[in-house]
Amino acid sequence: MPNVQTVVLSMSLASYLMSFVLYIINFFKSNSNISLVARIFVIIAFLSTTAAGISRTINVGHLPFSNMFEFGLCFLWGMVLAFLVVDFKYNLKGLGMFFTPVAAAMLMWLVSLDQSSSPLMPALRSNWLYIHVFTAIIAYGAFGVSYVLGIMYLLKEQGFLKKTLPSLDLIDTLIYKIISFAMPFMTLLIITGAIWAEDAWGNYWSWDPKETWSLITWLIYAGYLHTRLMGKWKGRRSVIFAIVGFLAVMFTFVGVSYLLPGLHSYA
Amino acid sequence: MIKWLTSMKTAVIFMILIIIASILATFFPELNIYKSIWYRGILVFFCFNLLLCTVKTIPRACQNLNKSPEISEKKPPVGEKVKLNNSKHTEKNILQHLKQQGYKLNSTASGHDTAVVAHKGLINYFAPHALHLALIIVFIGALVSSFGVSENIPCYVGQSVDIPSELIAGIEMKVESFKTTYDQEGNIENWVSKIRLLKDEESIAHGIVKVNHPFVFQGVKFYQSGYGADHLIAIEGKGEFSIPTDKPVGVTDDQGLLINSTNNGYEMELFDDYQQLKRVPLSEGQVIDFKDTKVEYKRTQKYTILTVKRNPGTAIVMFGLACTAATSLLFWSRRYRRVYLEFNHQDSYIQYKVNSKDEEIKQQVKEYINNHIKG
Repeated sequence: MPNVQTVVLSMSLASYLMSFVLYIINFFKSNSNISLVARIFVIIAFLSTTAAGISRTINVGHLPFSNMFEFGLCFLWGMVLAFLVVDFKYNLKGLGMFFTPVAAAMLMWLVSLDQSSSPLMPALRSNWLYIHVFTAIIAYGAFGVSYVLGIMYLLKEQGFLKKTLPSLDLIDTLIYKIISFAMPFMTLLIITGAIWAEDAWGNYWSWDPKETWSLITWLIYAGYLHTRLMGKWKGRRSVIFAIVGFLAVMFTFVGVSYLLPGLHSYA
Repeated sequence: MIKWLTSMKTAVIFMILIIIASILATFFPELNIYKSIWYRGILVFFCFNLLLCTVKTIPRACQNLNKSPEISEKKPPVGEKVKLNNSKHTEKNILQHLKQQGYKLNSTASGHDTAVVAHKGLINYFAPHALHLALIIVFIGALVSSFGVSENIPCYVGQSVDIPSELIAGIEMKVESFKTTYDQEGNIENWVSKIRLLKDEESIAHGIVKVNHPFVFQGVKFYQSGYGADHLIAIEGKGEFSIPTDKPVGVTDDQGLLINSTNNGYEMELFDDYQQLKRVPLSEGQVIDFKDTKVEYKRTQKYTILTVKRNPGTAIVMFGLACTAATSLLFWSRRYRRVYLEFNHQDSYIQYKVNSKDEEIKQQVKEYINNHIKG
């Protein structure tokens, strides 16, 4: 079974790289066929990541949520899913070109992690795990796409590919829409974690580093929404807020696990 | 002061302060920032700000919805002004269509003028207020939680302990059994304690406590929080001793022993002058020769540790969290939009303005009204 996982992950990586090349070509020589093929490669990569997740589930006997490699795979899956939805709906020029290297880099990093499987510890053997992680996958995945859009915004603002990238207004609006969609999932992520912690440890909030960092992430995105909706912040300031939000997401996922061990140190 | 406390700017400042303080707290746990007065102070002020903002904005939001529109003659005209061929016909058409589209209409007529306010997406309009209220419930619950009581209670299997009176008065807890359960692959699935509650030696309740499945009795919750084992040994000429696992114990000045857990149970390591003499797998009743003396392994005394908690705040927090979850979903409802229309039937024109925080919706509604104006 690990071989199946290696094969599908390699296929996935190759597809991301291929779609990256095609998106670059399409960016400079607008051609709907190239764009379509690039998108097909992303779909292949997405299906391969799905297959890797399924093979992993069969292999370890539970959904792949128990360590950093497994959750990282789901995180990537969520990000690609969010990208595909945005790409199908808005067909934003340049998004694929910026997104696919991020996805490829994440996959390469995941492959470099310890892929050995470990049994689920008793506290994790709960249905809350599935709801909790599902909300994380959707929220983090969508935030990932908003981050890529934020980078596009800043580059365009600096004059990079000024004529070919979509308008700043459109990118800004899209970031807002994605964050508005993902924020309830982020809220549910924290709530399901709190309810579960109450059942498992008898304490709905322990100021565990992962809990605290997810609260920090939530506050950053809440700040983004408040300043945008009430304070009329738009453009650069707002986009920087969104980028900082995703950096907090990444720190919650990676940084906390390596630097700040606590109750969540298994992931 | 009140103005400052009720402003959104203040809320954002508090959010930034909480973020910075929390980052510091995660990197420097030794500073105990979460328990510091200043950190709690920031949280309290933030809650206060949230409460005041909510109290201030909800009545205003309700008023805005129910307020009858004012004819703009008394005020500077609003929005776009378009000449009409037949203002009455256009009014009828637009209002009928808005109604069909699910808009709630409020109108005022005065002389030749009709002013109409049309709203749609009311759930979305109230979502932030509802979410703020839900968060306030969580904060109130957290405040009440700080008065809760929680104790870790270790108890040997087969024995009873008194539950501290601040949790439940006059109740004893007896641990009938404790076991580790395994799944089909042989991995640890859970730790399970079977307990019985006694009052005046009469059983009043019994249940099973395991990780993710607390036992609840009269609002008091019992959580599986730990386990372990002590070992009862008898040393010839010295008496009986209860020894914890993995803790070295001296038998004489130069001799000692240590009991370890292994995959198959327990083993005893015997030391003489810091040198390991032998390692013996243990079974109950076994007698081990140890130089000039004898050690009898009498039995393993398993114990379980249960966290027993009474916290009225938890129920409030859980209710608040459920409300927060429900209200956060309201944000996905149809976006709020507000259309102000004013028809002047004497000079036959319409003035209108569309408000929405979503530019796309704003354009759509404008386009749709323009189409009706054009007929």
